[in-house]
Amino acid sequence: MTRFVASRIVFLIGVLLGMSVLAFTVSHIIPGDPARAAAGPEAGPEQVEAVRREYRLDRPIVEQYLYYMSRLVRGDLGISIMTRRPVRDDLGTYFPATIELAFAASFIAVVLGIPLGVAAATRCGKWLDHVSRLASLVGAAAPVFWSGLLLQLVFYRNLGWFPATGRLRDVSGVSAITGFYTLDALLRGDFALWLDALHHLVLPAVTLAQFPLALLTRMVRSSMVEVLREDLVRTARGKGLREGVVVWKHAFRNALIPVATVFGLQCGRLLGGAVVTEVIFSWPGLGFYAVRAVTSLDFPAVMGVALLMGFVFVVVNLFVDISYLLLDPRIRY
Amino acid sequence: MQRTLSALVGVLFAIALLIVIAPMASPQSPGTINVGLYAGEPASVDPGVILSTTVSRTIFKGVYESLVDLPGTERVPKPLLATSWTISKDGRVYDFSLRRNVRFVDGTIFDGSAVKANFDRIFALNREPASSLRAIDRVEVITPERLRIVLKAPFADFLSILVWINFVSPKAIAEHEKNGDHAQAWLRDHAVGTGPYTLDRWIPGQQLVLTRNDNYWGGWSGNHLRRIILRPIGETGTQRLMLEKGDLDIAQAVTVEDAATLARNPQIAVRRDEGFSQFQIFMNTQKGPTKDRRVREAIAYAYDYDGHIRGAMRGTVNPAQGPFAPEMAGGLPGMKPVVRDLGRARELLRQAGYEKGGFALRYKYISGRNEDKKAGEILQASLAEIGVKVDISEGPWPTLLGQLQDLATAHELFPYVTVPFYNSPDALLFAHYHSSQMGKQGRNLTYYNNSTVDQLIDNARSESTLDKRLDMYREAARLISNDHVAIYISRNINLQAFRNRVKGFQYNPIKPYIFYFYEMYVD
Repeated sequence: MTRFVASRIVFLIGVLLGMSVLAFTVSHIIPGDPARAAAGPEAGPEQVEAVRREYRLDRPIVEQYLYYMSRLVRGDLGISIMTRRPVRDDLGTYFPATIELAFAASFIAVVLGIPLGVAAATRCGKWLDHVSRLASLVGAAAPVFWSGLLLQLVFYRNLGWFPATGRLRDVSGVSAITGFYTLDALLRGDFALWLDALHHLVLPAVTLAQFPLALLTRMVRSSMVEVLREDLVRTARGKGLREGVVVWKHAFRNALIPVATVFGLQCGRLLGGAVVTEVIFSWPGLGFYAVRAVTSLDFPAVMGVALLMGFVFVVVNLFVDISYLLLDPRIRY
Repeated sequence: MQRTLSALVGVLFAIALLIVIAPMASPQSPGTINVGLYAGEPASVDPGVILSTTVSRTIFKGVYESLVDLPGTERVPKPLLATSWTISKDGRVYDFSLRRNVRFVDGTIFDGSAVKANFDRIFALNREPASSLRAIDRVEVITPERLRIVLKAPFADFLSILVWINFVSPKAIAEHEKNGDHAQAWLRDHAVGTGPYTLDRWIPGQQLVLTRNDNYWGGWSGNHLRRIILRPIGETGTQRLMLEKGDLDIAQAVTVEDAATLARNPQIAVRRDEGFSQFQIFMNTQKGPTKDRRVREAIAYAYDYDGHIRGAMRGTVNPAQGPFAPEMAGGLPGMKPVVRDLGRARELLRQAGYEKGGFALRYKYISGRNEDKKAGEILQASLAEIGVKVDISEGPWPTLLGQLQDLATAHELFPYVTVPFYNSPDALLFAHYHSSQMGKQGRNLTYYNNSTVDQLIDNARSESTLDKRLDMYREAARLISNDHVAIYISRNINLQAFRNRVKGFQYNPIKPYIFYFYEMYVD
């Protein structure tokens, strides 16, 4: 186990190193002039050159890369061209919003998707199965920009239940502790603030949960249908166990391994920032930040986002692999 | 297992119920205004670093002040931190009398040395504001209330540029300087000015909050806003919903479709103001078939203007006439928008040696820009009728600009929205048509080179009589139009929607999306 985790950490370093080379090369061979973009439309050639020197864009690319890496090992991701703040500070501002949203969306997907999938599998071919199939199809197929706006129209404009944008109604007087506003409000014991943060979280989280929920429901169903046909289920039933125990203790646990794999990848994807959802709901997360970074050729920010996403993916997958051990004691690393 | 599950479902249901039942707090509080920003948030609110970004300018107008100002549709700068000024006969020496009893929000006195410290800082930082002040030779403090600016050469529109130069407390600059950065890092998200508001909070990606500066020299009698909440909301549909709901008082991002719906709402007023910015397709004058003036003229005659203005843009733009909006020069007599004439276009191509057309041109636009995209399609269809092929591609602005700044990689055709930076044709003529601004030097990306036009632009800069200056600009406009450097297509109409409770907004064609919050109030 320890050896497995250690080897995975070595793997992680390798992946990040590879990604850094790839991302750095790509962001530097794109035609265009980041210095010009950063200097502003009214800047003259002299000012553009000053910016170029400041960001070392006048140096050969290998030198730039080595300089970047030498600062990266000290935890310095450079200064964003677009926001003019250290990229590390920017990621620290935007990433918690993404984690909070991704967590809420995953939560909705798990809490609704697993019971729905199991129920559909145990009632294979019945009406509940058909309804869940139809709902999953819609969930997987409906574009997020459409369903997000629809949710806003119904639950914000017509019913007035939830706010449409942002993370809080009024940010004055809020100072972040963790950056997760729901958690911060609880830590401060501010119930009204907690409710406000939760209120703001609902619509984007539901929108973001749409696809993973559909996927999870279908995955759990098909995996369960297969396991329910296996000998272990017949044996369990033959022993006279209650149906609930057979389904949840015996079948469900065995059905979870493929589900965990797919869900892990989904979590990684959610943590990478959901661009469309974040834009519709003006949710200040990583996707929001990444889009702005790419369109303004802000290569330090692009690099920072790419490395962070790579890191998150590898770590999430490590957790998925570890979860196999808990799900199936026969698996050994 | 099933029992815990039902308990969990119960708890979740209870939380869900609580969230739904809890009332959403009312967004309207007295004297507070909520503004939906379309263009995102500023990279910095440091007036020594940023000059032309609309969002930054909006904040500058709240928290900082300049020596002179151009409110509303005024053409001649008005006093602000300078109460009066004289200009020497040779047009090089400007003597300003500064307003007395003005303090920065941190208590520092505003005087000549504070102004000089800011100019010194701008030149030391050498960013966008420094480029706009290239005309300055030196700044001298004569007395605390008198300041002299000496220019290298006469520049008739100099005061119009000073409208955008704002002053930061020299004490704040000194206190927050780190490693010789002139407090750049700190002033990025802090503001210490003499303006009516202070930057209270800025949470990246969420809100910028401006609150009233109680000690503002202009005083607080009469109707004014107390608090301004600026919210970057990139999705137009969302802005519309929030405006209808009353969570926003002003929506900057109004699409044509939304404007029609919003106009039917009795609580909302949609403003349609013609701005000075205009849309054109520039043509390279130094390479490929468009090097030939007759080919450029043929393209200008082939373009389907009606299809653009009435069809694609559904009448939400007005026709453009020349290199700048006619009002900027007090009219452009004798110049009319080009009218499509395919026969003339074919004849011109024949004269240029392309009887059947038979060549291809590249058109590249900025990704995501609707009018650019539609214009490309119209251009493609229009030029197909005279046998010219158009290859359309798109890319992010910095990439596109990088390619255009090098004659070797420049595309023959590219759409461009010109936005004059100050209220004078000089703002556009110098940047886009003066030969000293070619390629990397500026924004003359068509590589247009006409010595008579250069001469007119240069002479106008040193001409102190406005009427004579305007004559020169009209002549330059005529020459440029005859050279067909661009297909002048449309002037944009700025759409902004306001809830009725918002009062006191003054439209300014030079800065259509900038608000003078101090002049505004809510019922």
